Order: sequence, then structure tokens, then C-alpha cells
Amino acid sequence: MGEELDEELVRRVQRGDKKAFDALVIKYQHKIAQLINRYVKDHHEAMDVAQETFIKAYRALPGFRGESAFYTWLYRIAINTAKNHLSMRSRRPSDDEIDIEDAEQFEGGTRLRSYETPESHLLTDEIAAVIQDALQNLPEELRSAITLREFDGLSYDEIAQVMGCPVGTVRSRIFRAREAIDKRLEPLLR
Amino acid sequence: MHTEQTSEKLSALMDDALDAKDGLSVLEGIRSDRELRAKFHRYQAVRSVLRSEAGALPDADFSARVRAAIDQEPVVLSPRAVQHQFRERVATFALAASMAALAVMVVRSVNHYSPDKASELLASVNLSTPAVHASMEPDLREYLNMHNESAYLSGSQGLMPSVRLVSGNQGR
Repeated sequence: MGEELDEELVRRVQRGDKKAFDALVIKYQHKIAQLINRYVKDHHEAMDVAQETFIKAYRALPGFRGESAFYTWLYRIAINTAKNHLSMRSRRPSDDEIDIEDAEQFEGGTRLRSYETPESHLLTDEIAAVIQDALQNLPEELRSAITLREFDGLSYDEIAQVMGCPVGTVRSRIFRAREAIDKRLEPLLR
Repeated sequence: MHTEQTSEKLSALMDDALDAKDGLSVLEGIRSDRELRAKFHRYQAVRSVLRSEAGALPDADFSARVRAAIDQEPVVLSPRAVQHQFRERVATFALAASMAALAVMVVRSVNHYSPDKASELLASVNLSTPAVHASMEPDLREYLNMHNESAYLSGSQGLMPSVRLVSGNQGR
């Protein structure tokens, strides 16, 4: 389903619709930022590299023929841009490099990294603590659904099989779990 | 202001579980609705914490900064889209040229039309079909009659006058 949406957005960009590219940025900004953070440790630099990645993608998009998924293609641009950035600064990339072929499967990570300032570090720890606490207090069926999705990376179909319920129920449970956590998080991230 | 249904679609969008139509609608909502954009950002924060992902998330203005940078860029078109636009222009031009030529022909024929000339022309045409009919060989007449009947039954009635006229002329 996601690829169908990406294909439509790419077609629109290739016809000159800049808003469609904006939608692609919104959709993938978090994924790309997380990816670049593995190479570029400084948050502000990482955001600059992420921005450069999207600009390069915009310039190269007319030549994109859809031979790979859009995200795989974007992933390659992000990796190359991050490596070029490090090379320009004569730094070495971190040890936890990821193979390009793993682009679609990659979801894992290490630990929530501290931000630049002590205040933002405190905020990060506080956010993490609130989210973990909210997760533990969810009703069992909601906690199982969100855990299978976020920890185990299962699709809605797979979760439906594991939980023995319709896909629509899975979608609803995951949404309700996110909403319950969000209610706790909202006052901190206003 | 977004509805609960929109929030549920937002959640599904994060899991790539929305079709293109709903996906486009939600992404447009994130673009235009500040609250929905903030919620999307919080949902992503929850995901990052639950997946123990390293690093910080982009701030809520990230996409706006990219948008501003893209606005400085020329509009990009794929070669296919450019070709498509060229074809469309050629087709539009051809259609306009045909319409203009047709208009010129119509105007000319109207200018040359005279009711008197038309009456003279009609009077000079011999429309006595029975005479033509009588001069035909019996075999040909029979063939044409059979042809008329079968064509009528097969539903081609509208073509019959032309067929009769052509056959009659050929028989002379």
C-alpha cells in the first residue's frame, strides 16, 4: 500500500507538482533523520545532511524510473550524502554501518542518544520515561498490538494472525495504543 | 481541526497501511493542519523511543525548511512528462489547425451558395429511379431485390439508398 502511495507522489513530482514532493518529505523525514544520525552524530549537522538529501533527491527525481522502491532509492542518496559529508570533514563513519541491501528491512537501533544541551537531554529522558510508563499501563490487547508492531516489526496481517482477530481490529488497537501514549506525551511536546 | 478518523488514518500511514487516496489526503492534512502535524511528530517520537532508535528527531519545521529550499529550485519534469507535454501541445495545435481549415471551408461554401443555382441543379438531376430500374437485366434486378431484403433484415437499412444507386449506375 505504501509503495502505491509513493508511486503516485513520484508521478506527481515528475509532472512538476512541488506539493507532492513536500508530502514525500513529510512521510520520510523521520526515517531519513534516524538513518543519517547513525553516521553524523551532531544533531544539527545531521539535520543539514537530511535537508541536503531531500534536495538532491528532488533534483534527481526526473531520472527516477521506479526500478527500486522510492525509499530504497532515497536511502541510497542519504547514505551517500552522509558519507560525502563525513569525507569532507575527514571523519570516519560509525561502526554500525548498514548495508544498502538491508534498506527495506532495517528498523533496529541502539539507544536513544542525548541531545546537544543538558536541557534537551533531560527532556529526552523524560519523554522516554513517560512513553515507557504509558506503554506499561495500556490494556493488554493494546500493549500486545503496539509491541508486535514496534518491537517485532510485524505487519497488520501478521499481527492479526498472531492475535487471532481481523486486520481492522489490529489497526484500531494500534491506533488506540498510540492515542493513549500520545495523551501522556502531548503536554511535554507542545 | 482533525477528527478521530483522521488520527486513525495517520496511525495507519505510519505503518504503510493506507491506500494512495487516503494517504494523499492525510499527507495534505499534515501539511495544512498544525495540530495534525504536531500529532504526527509525537507519534514518531513514540516510535523512536519504543524502537530505541538512536539520534534526535527532526523538528516540526524541518519539512518547511526543505520546502523553502525546493522553492528556490526550478520545477523538475521527467523526460517522459516533458515528452507527454510536447505531444499534448502538438495534438492541441493540430486540432486547432483542423478547426480553422474547416471554418474557412464552411465560410467559402456559404459565400458561394445561391438558392437559384441550387434549384437549377436539382431540376437538372434525373431522379426517375423506376426508369433506371426498368432498364436493368432481370437477373441483376432479382439480385438487388434479394440483397435489399437480406440487408434490411440484418439491420443495415440506412445504407440501402446508396447501395441501390451505386448498383443501378454500375448496371447501366
